[in-house]
Amino acid sequence: MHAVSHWSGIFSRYAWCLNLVSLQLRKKLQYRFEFWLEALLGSLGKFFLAYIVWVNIFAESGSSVIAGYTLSDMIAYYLIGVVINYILAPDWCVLSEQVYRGEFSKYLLYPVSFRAYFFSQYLGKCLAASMQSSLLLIGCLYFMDFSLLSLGVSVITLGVAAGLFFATNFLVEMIVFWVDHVWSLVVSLHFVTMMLGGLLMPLETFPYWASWLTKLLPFNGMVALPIATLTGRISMDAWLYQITIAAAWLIFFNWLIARVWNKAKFKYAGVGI
Amino acid sequence: MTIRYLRLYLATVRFAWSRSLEFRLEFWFRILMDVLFYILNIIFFEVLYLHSPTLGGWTKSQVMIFITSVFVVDAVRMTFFVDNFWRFRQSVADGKFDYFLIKPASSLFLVSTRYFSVASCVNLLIAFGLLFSALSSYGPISQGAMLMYIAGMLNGILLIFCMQLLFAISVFWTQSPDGIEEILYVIKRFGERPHTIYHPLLRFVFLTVVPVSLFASVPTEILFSENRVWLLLGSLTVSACAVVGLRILWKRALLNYSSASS
Repeated sequence: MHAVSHWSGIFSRYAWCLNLVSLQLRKKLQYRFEFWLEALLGSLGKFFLAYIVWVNIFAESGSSVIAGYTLSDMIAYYLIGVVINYILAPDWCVLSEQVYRGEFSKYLLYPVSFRAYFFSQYLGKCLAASMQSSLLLIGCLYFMDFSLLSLGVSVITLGVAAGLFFATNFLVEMIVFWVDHVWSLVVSLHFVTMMLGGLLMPLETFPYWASWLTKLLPFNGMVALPIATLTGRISMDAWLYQITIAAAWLIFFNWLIARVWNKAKFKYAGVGI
Repeated sequence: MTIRYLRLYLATVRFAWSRSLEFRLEFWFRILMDVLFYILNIIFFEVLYLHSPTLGGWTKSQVMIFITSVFVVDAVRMTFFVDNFWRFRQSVADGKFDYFLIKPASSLFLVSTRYFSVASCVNLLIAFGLLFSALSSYGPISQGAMLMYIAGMLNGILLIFCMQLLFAISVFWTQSPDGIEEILYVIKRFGERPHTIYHPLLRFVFLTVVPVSLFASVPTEILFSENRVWLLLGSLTVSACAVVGLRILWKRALLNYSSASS
């Protein structure tokens, strides 16, 4: 009896998170035509373009293996990469737009942490994107490694990747407390994530020194590591090494967000344009 | 008439200059963003050429001319069009488009030229610098080929304007400020790869129906190909059709405008 009331207490305490996730999902479904078109055409287009480029590279180089990838591996890499990015990449300028318009004040009055509030919204976006990507997700299942251990480490890796996507984006958007517009910075972050996270091409295709260096950066934990984990292309030792680096970055970014917020809250005037 | 529109546009540029001084850091951020876009694309092709001597039959130096041509077209788009069409969609969605209709000038001209990005103008200079560097490291190019390449590029810019407008116009029917813009960005990316890598059927689509390969890829081929006259004539024909089609669509779109806002 006591245990039941304990759990219901926890549930009611965090029910607002579920409400936010559901609200975000309904907001995304408002424009249904765009909801599906954007997901299918957007993600499939990126995948298809990468596929065409690599088919040509394999044909014109005369090799069947490039940087450890066969053409089939490359297809799996891009398919899973596109889906991961679509699900986990946050919507642009959610925080900065509200600060710019002076609408951020309401978060200061809510009885919950504004960071937790935005993270719940982000989870709602991820859930909506997962629904959108369901067709592509089925395609991904064909390439995935289904051992129990692999599924376990995949869940951890995707959790860390989601945390990194959210934290890096949030950190860049927090610059809005000092400058008015950060849209270009958010897009710049997206470019850097594409290149150094392995979304544009597998990091193994880079020269060895560059590939080694990118493994030390947080972007590896956002795209390349989840893909390697889901496809079972990574050994346990290598996974442990890379997830430790990614987790360390995640802790660092969260510490940094708290530090930046301590300074930012004195900068926010509540005046919008 | 032309002088009046030119004076109107110069006034727009003056206002844009003042606005850019208002948000100075944003000015530098935008330059940084585009420079990162250039670096990202150059690294992408550099890495591809580590693994293959050609891509779609094009050598590395040919692809460098192609990608820097993409930068120039993109910088023109960012400087002159992007802000305009973004704000145009917003204005239709929130009912503020009425102000464009009552002004004593062409509504199409006003929505296409109201804003001008000074930061992207700086990037246009960088893009030209990169293109010049790629062209000079390629070797001798005949004057005729160069003139036709420039004509092809100008035609590509006209086409990207048409395509941007076509997607922006969709707001009259969808009523959503985001429109189907995401699709444009996906389709546009197919134009950021040489058209010679596509299957003939897909290539035909990208040369005619959705002519993204005419933005920079075909102008680049004009430089090297023996069939450059036909390539240019074909490109110009597609542009003429696009311009005529868009004028008809614009008139229909205006009839569909209800002035209702959300």
